[in-house]
Amino acid sequence: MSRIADLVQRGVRVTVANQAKGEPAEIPADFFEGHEPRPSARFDSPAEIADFAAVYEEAEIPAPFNGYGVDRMAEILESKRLAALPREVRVAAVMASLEAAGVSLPQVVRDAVVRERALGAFVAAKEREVAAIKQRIETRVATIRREMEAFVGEQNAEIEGLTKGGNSAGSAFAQLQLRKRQEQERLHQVLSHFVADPANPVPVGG
Amino acid sequence: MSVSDLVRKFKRAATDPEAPPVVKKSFDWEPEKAMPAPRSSSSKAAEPAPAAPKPAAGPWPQERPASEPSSVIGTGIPADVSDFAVVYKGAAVKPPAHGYGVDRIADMLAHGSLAGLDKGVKASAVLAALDAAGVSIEDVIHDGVLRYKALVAFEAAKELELQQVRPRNERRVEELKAKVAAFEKEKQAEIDALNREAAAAVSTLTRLQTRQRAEEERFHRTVSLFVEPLPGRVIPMGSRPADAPPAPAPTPASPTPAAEAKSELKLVAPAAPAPAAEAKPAENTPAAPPTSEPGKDEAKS
Repeated sequence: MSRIADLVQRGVRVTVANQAKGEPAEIPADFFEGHEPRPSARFDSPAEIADFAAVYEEAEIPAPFNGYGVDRMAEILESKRLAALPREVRVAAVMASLEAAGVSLPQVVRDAVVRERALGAFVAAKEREVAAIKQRIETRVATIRREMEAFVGEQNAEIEGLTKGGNSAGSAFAQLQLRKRQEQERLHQVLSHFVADPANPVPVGG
Repeated sequence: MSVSDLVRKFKRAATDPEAPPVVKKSFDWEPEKAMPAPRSSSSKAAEPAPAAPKPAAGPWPQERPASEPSSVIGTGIPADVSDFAVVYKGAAVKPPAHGYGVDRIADMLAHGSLAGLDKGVKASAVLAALDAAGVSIEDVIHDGVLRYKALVAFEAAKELELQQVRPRNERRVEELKAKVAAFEKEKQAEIDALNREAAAAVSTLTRLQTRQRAEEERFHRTVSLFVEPLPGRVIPMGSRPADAPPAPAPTPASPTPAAEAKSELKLVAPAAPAPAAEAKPAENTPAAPPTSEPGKDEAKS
């Protein structure tokens, strides 16, 4: 579970004293429910998007009331003017600006919750995309490997046939030479009855 | 009667000047029924039956251009041909018209009636028979020469074929190997590109997940300055341990968290040989001195 969701899962208690009048000291968990981001299987925003604002926009997260959401609050807290000041001072400054903007603390917390959910949905969508990419690539690679195996097998069969053919041709020729010597010897033998060896037109076989 | 006598008789009969002139018939040296079975490797089967004898030709070797073996021997005839008769036929080597080719003479020499005789005697017998048939030995020799030439030509043709087949096969094998290598290279490049694509997608996702954690951390850091989870972390407001009356020594059976904390303090203190006056108020005095503080108690212990 993400951190904000973990924080608000059973409701929260406001820890600052200087709330506006009428603001509740506790915010129940159901206050944060029912603000799910747009249900979407996929996001058009790329995973390497520079600014998550586009993701929140695509998830149809409503703009914070008077532009005062968790982003704005974080900016104020991280501003150079407040960064060096004690926590209490920074909190007081933020509470004062909230009151001035007419925004309640629960609204800001809910804005954080909703954005975190949208971001989670975005990342989950991108995880699914990557899983699909990996699956597609694995399938394609397996197909390529099968193609390679078939092609190489076919070519190797032809190579083997040629090699075998060459060998058998050589073997057949060797056999022919042997048989030819025998036949030559036979002819020589027959003629040797009538022609002396030096004059025998058929030389000795072998 | 010896064979020589027999031959002489044959010769006399064939050349008797007193005998009336008769037309020479083919000499039936070996009638069909008396002949041994034809040899399988000879070309005898291809030879026609003995025909009318031809007058003897000139001395061997004579030019007989019509009987020269074909120059295209071996074309279409496999090297492992079962019978050289096919080779002779392919080379257009025909037995002499009178039928007395080298194969027939070989059969005559191997005939049973001449078995065991001297080589010269056998030759004389055959020559006599040929003479009687009006066949010149040169014809036989010429037939043998033609067959020998046909054999040599056939062997040469097959050797040439082999010499052509080997490099052709080797070239084809090299072509196929190159084809396989190129195909493998192409496909491996495709696989590599796909693997790079997968790795890039995974890497991008990892970066996104890192950024997601940073963003969540930023949200949490911001929000947690103002709120905290409801249960668990809410510390119930109570009296500080130093202000509380000293609790009795905890029993091991049922320690409570608060009692455990205190018991730690109390159990550690007696371990040191402290004066009894200092140890007694910590354990038994209901009200702790107003100046005593937990930190200081800890330091003492």
